[in-house]
Amino acid sequence: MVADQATFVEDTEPFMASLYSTAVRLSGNRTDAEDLVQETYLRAFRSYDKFEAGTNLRAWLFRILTNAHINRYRARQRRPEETDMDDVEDLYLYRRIRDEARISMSAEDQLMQYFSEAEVVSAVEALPDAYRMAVLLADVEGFSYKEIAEILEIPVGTVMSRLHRGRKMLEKALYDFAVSRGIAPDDDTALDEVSADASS
Amino acid sequence: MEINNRPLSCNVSSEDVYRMLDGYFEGIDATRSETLSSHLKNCDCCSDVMQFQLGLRTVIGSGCREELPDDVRQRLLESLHKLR
Ligand SMILES: [Zn+2]
Repeated sequence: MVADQATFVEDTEPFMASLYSTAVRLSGNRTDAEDLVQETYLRAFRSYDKFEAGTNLRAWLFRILTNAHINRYRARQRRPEETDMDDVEDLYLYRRIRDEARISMSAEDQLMQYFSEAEVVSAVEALPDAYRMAVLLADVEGFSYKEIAEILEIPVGTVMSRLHRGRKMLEKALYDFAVSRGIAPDDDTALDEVSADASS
Repeated sequence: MEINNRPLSCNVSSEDVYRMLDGYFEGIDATRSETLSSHLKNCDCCSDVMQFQLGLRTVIGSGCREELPDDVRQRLLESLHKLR
């Protein structure tokens, strides 16, 4: 059964807030985000007769949103080198800031000692598009790998690797904020010390 | 650099930690995923890692979420009603 355009507004309105939130993080500002959501709703309305009622409407709307975003910003889209993040360690932040002394502290409380919410936003917005979309869909909107694969029209394996790399990039950027503020040791310095020890 | 996917002190790989966090077990057999989930639940080291990563996600999620202002909602709804 196909969806009915007469019920379009009431069917889709519940998703407006999360579409807008994602649009702000994708476009980087509120004005463009509003345009992007409006375009999303217009496109969705026009093809609503192709939406199969009873299937995942939220994912379908996010697919239209991310497509509209990609089409708008194709020119400035940065294609990250697949190897960019290969020398960044997994669980980057955990391995650097978590220790015995802080194990009783909640992760949220500990993390907020190292960086601010504004820095989280700028680290996310600095991610290359492909990674940013995966991270926003998974970690902010809570979509599953399978849903993200459908939204971005890529294989599940690609979702996994983009998320993995995107999260590492994000963790490194957040750590660097703490380093620049002098509350975490510079990683290179730490590595230099290790190699100096080994050679002596 | 071989430290890249360095396992945790209990020898669990970071890949398995991520699988567990995302609830994604496709491509690994049922026995292994059962062993893994019971290990992760009972291991102090793994549960701290999981708790930390979940906390990080919460921080990212609440940092990134943007409220939909009333005036924007009104404008969007008006343009929707014109579609009819
Ligand atoms: Zn463990």
